[in-house]
Amino acid sequence: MPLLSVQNLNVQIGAHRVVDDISFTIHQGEVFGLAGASGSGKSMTALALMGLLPTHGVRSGQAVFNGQDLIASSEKTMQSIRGDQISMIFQEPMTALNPLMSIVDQVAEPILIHKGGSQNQAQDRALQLLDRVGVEAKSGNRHRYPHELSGGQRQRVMIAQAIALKPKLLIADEPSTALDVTTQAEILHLLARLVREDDMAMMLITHDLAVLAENTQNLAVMKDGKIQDHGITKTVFTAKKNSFTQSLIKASEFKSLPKKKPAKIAPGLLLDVDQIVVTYPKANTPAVDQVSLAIAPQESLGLVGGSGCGKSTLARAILGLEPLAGGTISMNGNQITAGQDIPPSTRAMMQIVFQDPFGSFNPRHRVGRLITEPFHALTTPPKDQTQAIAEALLDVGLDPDDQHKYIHEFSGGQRQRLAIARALMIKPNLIILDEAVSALDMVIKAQIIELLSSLRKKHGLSYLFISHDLSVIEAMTDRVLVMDQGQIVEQGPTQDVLKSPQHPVTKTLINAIPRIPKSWR
Amino acid sequence: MLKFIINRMMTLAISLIVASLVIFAAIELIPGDPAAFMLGINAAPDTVAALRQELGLDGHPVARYLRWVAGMMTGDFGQSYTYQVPVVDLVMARLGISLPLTLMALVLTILIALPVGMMAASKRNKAADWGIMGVTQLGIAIPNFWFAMILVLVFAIQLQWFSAGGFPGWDNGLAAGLKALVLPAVALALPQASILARVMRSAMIDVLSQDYIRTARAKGLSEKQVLLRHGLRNAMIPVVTILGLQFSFLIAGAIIIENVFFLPGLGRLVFQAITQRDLIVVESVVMLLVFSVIIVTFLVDIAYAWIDPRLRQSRLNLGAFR
Repeated sequence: MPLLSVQNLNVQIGAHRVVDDISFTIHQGEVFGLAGASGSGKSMTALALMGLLPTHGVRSGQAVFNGQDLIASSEKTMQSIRGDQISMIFQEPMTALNPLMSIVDQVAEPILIHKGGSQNQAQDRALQLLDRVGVEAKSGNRHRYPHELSGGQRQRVMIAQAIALKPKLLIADEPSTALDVTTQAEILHLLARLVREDDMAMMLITHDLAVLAENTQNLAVMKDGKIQDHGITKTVFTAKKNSFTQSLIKASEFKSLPKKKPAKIAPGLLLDVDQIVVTYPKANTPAVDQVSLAIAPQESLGLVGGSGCGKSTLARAILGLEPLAGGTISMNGNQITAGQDIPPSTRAMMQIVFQDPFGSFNPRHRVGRLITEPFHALTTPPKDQTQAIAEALLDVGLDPDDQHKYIHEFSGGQRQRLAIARALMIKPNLIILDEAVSALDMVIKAQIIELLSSLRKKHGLSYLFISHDLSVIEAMTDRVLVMDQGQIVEQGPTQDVLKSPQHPVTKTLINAIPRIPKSWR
Repeated sequence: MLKFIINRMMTLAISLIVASLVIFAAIELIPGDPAAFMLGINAAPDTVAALRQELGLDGHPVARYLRWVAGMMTGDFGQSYTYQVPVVDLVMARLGISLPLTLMALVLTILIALPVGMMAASKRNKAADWGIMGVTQLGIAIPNFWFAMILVLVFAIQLQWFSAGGFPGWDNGLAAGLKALVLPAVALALPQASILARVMRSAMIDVLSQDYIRTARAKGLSEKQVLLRHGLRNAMIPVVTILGLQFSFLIAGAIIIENVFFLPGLGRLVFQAITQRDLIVVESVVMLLVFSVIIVTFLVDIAYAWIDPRLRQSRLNLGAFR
């Protein structure tokens, strides 16, 4: 008998049907994968099973778990099941923990709620659990808070509280998507180990097919609320029956992109960074330690490294947002040394696109005003900006009429297009892309990468492409630098570095990438 | 945490010094002679001169300022002109009524606002929420002296549960004293509780949409446990800010309410002192009020740190926010 048997599950939010008549089963000890692009209904399926749909959500159908129908159960029954029999891990490690409660208390909470007992006993148990998931208990310190931990550590805390009572089913909704590639691999290994040790079943939800290929036994692929493809993971990949699954696999490998030719790089230097140092007060080591790099006109340079390696600080220093403690930066021949401010004319040659498209726009202004903001960097902004706005919007594949809308009216991918339009506005020479596609799902990521490639050709742009995602670096850059602890540890043509990495840091990064096995392709 | 408190104490000391300078300067800068001003236009010149000396208005301003500050530190606020008693005695007696009144109003504000605001947030867009929003809207709109009169009309004149005004004195027992303060405290608290309930509601609605609330539900907490264990503390941050600001409104509001209920409190004292041009009393009471507001601001800052571990350690962890 299966542990969970879902029959004809429907979820309706308002007038919108987000999950449409889906059925699947999960057996004890099995890792079941649920794939699909964002908005395909995978998270809603999980929330419906947990009884945690948004207020206007209505669910119907049947979901028999351990002999009990989750859909027909009362809220009271669901409360006794949640956190005890079925646990859930969410995507956002930075915000999924209560910032005001110590991590020990948060892990102890399900024990206290479901089993009772004293606060002290529950805390002792919580410390053991934290130890088990690899959050060093630091001599039993009970007063650590989420803000003291990195994203990966917080996700471990989430996992500890989810497995506190050895649930029969663990639902993991994009548990590693927001993390960098090495941390992602660690978290997935941890989950696999815990599932094996405790004989749990796990429902792993992600848009990343490679993650599912490596971790699941069975798989369902969702699109528009319906299950499109379903079966043993290996068969789903190798049978090539379903065209939608195939398109997802293709997107995940950026196969739609034209094969990269060595780009025609103009002679001379656009950006020359020489031995720059950036220090933060009270830090023992500099965040950026004597880093040198050069970008030629129309060149795309990649910068990779784990979180905290100093790559974003380096980008901020190049933009003049962090004061230099040493070295020089020369942009198109204009030199800036330590203690100098970057002149606006030099500043106007560079633009940046950030990871979080929503957070980097003011929600109260219309698009037309948002994307013309870089005009402030010019000494003589153009009189008629309508033409420029229309051109920029067309450039990134949006409608010129979109300038009258507000940012919340756009999807994640469209927002990132707007961020690119904003960067293009004043025709810069260099665009720095700081994890610009990391928050996007596979299909949209591939589209944005395609857009960036064509814009580069069209406008003769140089890119500094910062990412922890090596597949994106491979698709986008001519040369790559690998950064670790504030220093460049390896560099070379992208293809060479990825094919035969020399430095251990590079090797770790490459090995951490989840892959669809070669024989399955 | 200790570092944080010491840091805040320094700010507190500086605020007090600046406030005392401003108050002193204000009295100094009033055009004309305070003594002549206090005595009115028909005063004889030698009376004015005598008062000048009594007030300590002769001498260099710096020396006078230092004398005034030194006096306050040793508990000597000077002599009231109209009452001919030390200001300290006068203020202390009045404080015995105003302080309990303000505290009672503050406690009432909290006891009404927090549950009501939480209730409205958890029943968002339902009948209970609309009802609460309507009532709090009225509570903000109604002037509290008018509400005070309604209270007197209903509870003192019709029902005769409370007396319509006056204060029996603490000598007649704690219960009698407190009873006399109930209606004034309710009148004082109502508008503030209405404001705070709305702040609590919106803070809680904001908190309830956070990811960690979903995590709490996924752990199997009931709605009530979610609200109390995870919602309340997070929602308290904006609530404490507003509560700190409301304290000065409660003090200012007490001036009107004490007059409506004939309570011999600080509000009445300052009101009478102003009409009788007793500047020494005005100066001292204003300084006392400023002092209490600064102390409350200090307590609010401490409360932030107590609620939020990120503030407690902010000096150590700046790097994490970069």
